[in-house]
Amino acid sequence: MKRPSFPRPVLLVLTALALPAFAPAQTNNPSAAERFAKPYDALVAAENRYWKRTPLPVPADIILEVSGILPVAGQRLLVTTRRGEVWWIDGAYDADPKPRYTLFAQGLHEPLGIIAAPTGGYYVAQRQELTRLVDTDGDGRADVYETVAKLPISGSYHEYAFGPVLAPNGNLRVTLNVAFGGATQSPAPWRGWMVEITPDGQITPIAGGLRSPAGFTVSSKGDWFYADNQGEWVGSGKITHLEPGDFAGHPAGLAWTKLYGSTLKIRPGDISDFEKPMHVVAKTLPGLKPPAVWLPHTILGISNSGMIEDLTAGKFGPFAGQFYVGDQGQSKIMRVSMEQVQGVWQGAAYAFREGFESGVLRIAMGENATLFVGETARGWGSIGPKEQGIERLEWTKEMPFEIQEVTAQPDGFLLKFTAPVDRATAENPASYSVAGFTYLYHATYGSAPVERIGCPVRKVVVAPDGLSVRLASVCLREGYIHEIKVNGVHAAGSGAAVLHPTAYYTLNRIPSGDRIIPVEPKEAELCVAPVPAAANAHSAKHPIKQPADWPNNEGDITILLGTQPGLKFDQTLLTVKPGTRVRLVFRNADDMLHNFVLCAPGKGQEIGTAAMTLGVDGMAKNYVPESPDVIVHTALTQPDSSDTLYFIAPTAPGDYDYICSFPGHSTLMKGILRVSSN
Amino acid sequence: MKFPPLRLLACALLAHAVHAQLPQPAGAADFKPLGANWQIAGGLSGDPRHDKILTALPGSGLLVNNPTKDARAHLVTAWDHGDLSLDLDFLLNPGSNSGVYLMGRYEVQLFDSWGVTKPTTTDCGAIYDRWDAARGKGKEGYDGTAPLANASRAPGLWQHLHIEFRAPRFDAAGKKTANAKFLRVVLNDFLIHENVEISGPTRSALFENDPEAARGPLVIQGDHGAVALRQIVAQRLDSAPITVTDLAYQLFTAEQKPMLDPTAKPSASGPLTRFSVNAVEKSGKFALVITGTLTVPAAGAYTLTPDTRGQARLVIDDQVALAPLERGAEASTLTLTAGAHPFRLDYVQVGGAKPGITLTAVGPGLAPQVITSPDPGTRPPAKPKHILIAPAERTRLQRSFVPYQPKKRLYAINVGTPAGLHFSYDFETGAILRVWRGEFLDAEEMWDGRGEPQTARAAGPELLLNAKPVVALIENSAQGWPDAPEALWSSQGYTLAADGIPTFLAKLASLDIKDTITPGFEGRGLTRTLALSGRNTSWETNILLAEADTFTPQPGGRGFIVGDREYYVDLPAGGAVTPFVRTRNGRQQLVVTLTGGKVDRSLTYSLVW
Repeated sequence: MKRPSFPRPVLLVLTALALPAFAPAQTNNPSAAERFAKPYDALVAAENRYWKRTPLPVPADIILEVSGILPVAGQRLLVTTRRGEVWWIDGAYDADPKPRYTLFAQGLHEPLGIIAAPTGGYYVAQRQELTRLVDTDGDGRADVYETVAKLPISGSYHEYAFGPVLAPNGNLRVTLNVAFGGATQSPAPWRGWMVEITPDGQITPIAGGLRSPAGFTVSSKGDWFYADNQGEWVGSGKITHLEPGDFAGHPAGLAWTKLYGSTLKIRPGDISDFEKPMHVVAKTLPGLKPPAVWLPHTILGISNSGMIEDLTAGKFGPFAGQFYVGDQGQSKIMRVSMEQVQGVWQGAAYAFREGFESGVLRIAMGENATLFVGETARGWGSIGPKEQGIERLEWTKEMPFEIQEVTAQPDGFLLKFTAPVDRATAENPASYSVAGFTYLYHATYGSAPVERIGCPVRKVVVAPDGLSVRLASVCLREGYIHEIKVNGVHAAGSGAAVLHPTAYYTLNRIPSGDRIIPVEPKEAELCVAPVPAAANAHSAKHPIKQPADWPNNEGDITILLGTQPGLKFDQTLLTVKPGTRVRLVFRNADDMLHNFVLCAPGKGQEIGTAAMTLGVDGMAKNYVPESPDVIVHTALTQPDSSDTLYFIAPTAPGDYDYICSFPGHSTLMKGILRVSSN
Repeated sequence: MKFPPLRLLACALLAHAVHAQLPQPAGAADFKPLGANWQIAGGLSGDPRHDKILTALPGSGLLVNNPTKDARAHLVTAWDHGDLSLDLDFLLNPGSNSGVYLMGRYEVQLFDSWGVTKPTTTDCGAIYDRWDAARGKGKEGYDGTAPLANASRAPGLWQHLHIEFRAPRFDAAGKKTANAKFLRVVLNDFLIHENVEISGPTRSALFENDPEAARGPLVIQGDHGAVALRQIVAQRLDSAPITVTDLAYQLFTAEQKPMLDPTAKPSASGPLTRFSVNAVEKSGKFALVITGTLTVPAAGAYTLTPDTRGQARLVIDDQVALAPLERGAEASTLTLTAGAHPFRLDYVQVGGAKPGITLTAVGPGLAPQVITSPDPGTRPPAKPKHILIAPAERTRLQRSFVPYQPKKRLYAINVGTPAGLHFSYDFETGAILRVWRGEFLDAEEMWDGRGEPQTARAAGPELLLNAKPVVALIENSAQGWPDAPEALWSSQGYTLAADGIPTFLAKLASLDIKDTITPGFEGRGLTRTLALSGRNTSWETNILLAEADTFTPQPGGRGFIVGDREYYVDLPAGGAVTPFVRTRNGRQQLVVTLTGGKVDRSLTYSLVW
C-alpha cells in the first residue's frame, strides 16, 4: 500500500493546526481514528439507551426469514417469509412479548412485501406474480390466491420482485430486480424497472436503470424514492427519486426500451463504461438520474433494503418526516433527510441504529410509534449472527444528542441539533470538518470513493437558541457527497458528544441566497482533488510481482484458493512448510466483493473488526487496516476474477489466520494457514 | 418413464451379453429350459390390471409366467454370476408376487405393492428377510431391508428395476470376508437402496440352505404370482481389476508443450509413487507426462472416462484413448488384448482450478473402476441436504420452479395431499407436469443458502407427464397440439377448499375454466374435474386428457392405457365423457371436443399409475 499513513495523534494535531489556514485535503479524514475510539459494542449500547430493541420470540418450528411486514389495526402484524408463508402475529406489542403465530397463507414463492388491498384482502409480490390473498370465509386463513398480474422472469434466483407499494392513484408499484451475471442481466421484460400495475393487472413501466431495488416508498407528498444496492454500475448504495421516464443507471433493463410502453429516451447504445462520476455523466446524458442521497458503502450499509418515511409526528423521536432505510449485510438502520433544491431532491444520510440480530430486510411502523424490524441473512450472511428474526424498536423518549438534520446553504450547511449545543465547542471551527468525494459510474462492481478533497470550514454561526449551526466552507462541489463531521461539538449542559457525529450530504444543487462568507477569489485553485493512490499496485503487503529469482519463476508451491457462496473460502486449512515460497492464486467465484488477508496467529477477528472502521477510505485500502498483524493480502477482488500473491511463508510455525476483511465477512469467511515443520 | 420399444426377436439373444462391451438383452440361450409355467410371448392382451392371469400374445420379446398348482418353476440362468449389473422391465397383475434372486440367494422382492404407504421387507423392491425358525414365533424374519420408498406402479403397468450387486467375498480357506451387498437398487427411476448388505440367503431362495458361494445363477421367482418380463440386461462384473504399474513422470513448464514437442526437456523426472498428477511436486501452470503400464484382465473394448479441469491426452499402445479438448478430454473406446499395455498420459494445467484428473474405466465384465489414485486429504462429497415439506391435516401447496426438461417451469405450483398423492401444476398451460406418491417435496434448492436453482424436487418417485396446454384452440383439424401456452390463456390463481384442496382458475378467450384435482382411487390416483363455462370460441376447442405414442382402450369403456402401459386414464362409469384419440404428426392425443355456442360443461377423469 502506498497511501501515506500517519500515527493517529499526529493526524489529529495536523488537522487542528491546519484548519485556520488550508487543510491538507487528503489527510482530513479522522474517521478511522474516531471509530476506533468508539467501539462497536459501546455504540450499540449507547443507541439502545434511546431506541430500545426487543426481539420477538419465534417458535422453533417456524423459519421466520421475514420478507414483508404489515401492521394491521388491533395491534396485529401480518408477516411474509422467504419460505412463502404469511403469519398473523398477535401479542407483538406486549411489554414482555410472547407472541402467538397463526398461519394466514402458505406456499408462495418468496413474497417480498405485503400491503392491504383497498378492495379487501392483501397484495403480495411473489417472484413471478402479483397476488391478492383473501380470507372469504373469515376463518383467519386465506382461501383465495388471485393472480393479479403475471411478472416476466427467466428463472434466475436474483429476479426478485419487491413490493407492492400502493400508489396514490390506487395502482400498485413493484420493483423488479435484475438477474445475476451471465450475458444479460435483464433476460425478461422490465427486469431492472419500477412498474405500475392496475388492480386488473395491466403493467406499465415507470422508470428503469434499477439494479437491486429492495426498498422503495412513496412519500406523504407523493414522491417516489427507491434504495439501490452497490454492484455493477452502482458505485455505492443510493437513494434515487424516480419519476416516469427516469433512468437510474443500471443499463441491463435498457434492452426493453424497444417495447411498447417504455418511458425511457435513453437506449442501450447510449451507455459506455464511463468511469466518471454519475453526476458528471448526467450532464451530457439527459434522463440519467443521479441519486438524491448516496449511502457510502460499508459506512451506511452494504445492502440496503426496506425504506419508510417517519410519519409519527415525533412519537418515534426527533426525526419526523425523515426516512429510515434498513441494511441486510450490516444488520442496521440508517436515517435520511431530504429537501428539494432548485427542483432537485438531495439530502443527508446518517447512522441511526445498529446491532440487530440478523440482516435487516423489512421495517414497518406499527401502532404507538413501534417500529418492527424483519430480518434474514438469506444465504449472504449478515453482521447480526442469527439466520432470521423479528424485532421491535421503540424510542425510550430520552432525547439523544444528534444532528437532527442537515440542509444545504449557498456557502455550506445548516446543521440542526436535537438539543442545544455547548456554545464554546460549537463556535470553534476546529470542532467540524467537511470533505467532498464521489463514486465512479462504471461496469465494475462498486467503486472506491474518488476525487476526495477537504472543504475547509471558514465560519461557524451558532443560532441564539443553540439548536442550529450555520457552517460555511469552501470547495463545495455540486454533485458530490459531503462528509460533515461534528466530532468536537458537545451538548449544552451535559457536555455529551454527538451520538452519530457524521452526516453525508449529497449536494446535487447549491442553493442560491445569502452567504455568510464571501466567495474566495482563488477557490478553484484551492479545490483540486489529489491523484488517487493506486490501491491495487504491488507493495510489500500486496506482493503481486513475480520474484525473478524464484525457481521456475513461481516459487515452491502454488495454492489455489477460491470462494463459495455464503461467505466461505473453498478451503479452510492450508498447510505450508516454514519459509516456503508461496504463489497464492485467490479466485473470487462469488457474486460479491472479497479479499484474502493473511494475519498473525489469532489476529484474524481483530483485523476483521478493524476493517469495519475504515470508513469511506476502506475500499481504496482494499478494506485492509494498517497493522503489523497483517502479513500479506490480495486486492479487493471483483466477482469472477482473481489476484495472485507471491510471498514467503512465515518461518515461525503456527496457525496463521486468513480472513476476508470486507466489512462483515470475517466472522464467517476465514481459515487457517498452518505453518508446520513436519 | 418411457421404456425402449420392444425389438427382441424370440426372447432372442445372446449369451454374449456378459462379454460384450455394450449390454445386450438376454436371450433364450441364457436360461435353463423353461418350466411349463413360462412362455415366450410377443405382447399381452386381456386386462392385466384386473385379471388373475396374464394373457400372452404370440411373438417374442416377453417372458410370461402364469404359475399353476403343477407348474411353478423358477426362471434360472444357464450361467452363474458374481458381481452383477442388472436391468429389467417387469409387469405384475393384481396381488402378484415374484422376485429377483441374485446368485439364487439374495432376493429383491417383486410384489403388487401399489398404494402401500409404508413399505416393509415384503413390499416391492424390498431386500427380503432371511428366516430362522429358532428365533421364535413372530421374530423369524430378520436382516431384510424395506425400500426407501414405495416406488411401485399399478398392476398391469411396465415397471423398471435396476440393480447393482456385489457378491460376497471369501478368503482362500473359503471363509466369508464380506457380505453380499446391494450397491444401488433403483425402481422406476427412484433410488430405493444404497449400499445395503445382507448377511446370508433370504427366505425361500433357491439355495436358501446351501452355503454361500462366490457365484450362482440369476433366478426369477416363478412359483407365486403371474409376472411378465422383458429387456433383461445382465452384465456380469467379475473381471479382475485393471492394474497400473511402472509409473514415472516428467515435469515441464506449460510453455514447453510436451504434448506437441517431443524434444521438450523436462525440468524434473523420476518414478511416481501413485497414479496422480498431485504426486509430483510442482506449482503454477505446468505440463506433466505420466507413463506406465496398464494391465487389462480380458480382451475387449475399454473406455476411460476423464474427470478433470485440466487438459489431458491419453495414449495406450499407439491408440488415442483421450483426445485433448481446450479443457478436459474426449474419450474414445479402445479394443485391447488381455495383458500389459504401455500408456502415456499428458496433463496440462490450465486456468486456476485445482490440478487433478480422475480416470474411470469400464470394460468387459469390469465394474466401473477408478484407475487413478486418490490424493491424500481429499474430502468425500458432502451428503445431500434435504428440506422436506410435508402436508399435515390439510393439503399443502408450494410454488417453486419445477424441474422439467428442457427447461424448468417458472409459473408452477406443487400440491401435496395428506393422502400421499402429489402433483405439480403449470399455471401457463393448465398441464399436470408430474404426479407422485410418498414424501411430498424437497425445497433444499430453494431455501438452503441463496437457493440459486429455486426449484423444488419431488421427494417421492415421480411420473413425468407432458406440459402441453390442457385446452387448445385448434384452427383446423390437421393441426398438431400446440406446445406453447395458448396466447389467450390467463391463469387467475386458485381458491382453497376447507381441506386445502385447490381449484385452479383460468380464462381462455371467453371461457372460464375451473380445475380441481383430488386424490382418488383410495389414495392411489388423482381425479381431475375440469369445468368449462362461458361462450365457446370460434375455433375448435379441444381438451387434452393425455398425449402418448399410442392409446389402448381399457375393457368395458373404463378408459385408456397410455403409451406402452405407462399409466391409465380412467373414465367414470356411465359414459358421461367420451374422449376420442386424435393422431397428428405421429403423436396421439386423447381428446374431448367442446361443442355448442354457450358452454357449461364438466369433465371428470382420473390418472392412475
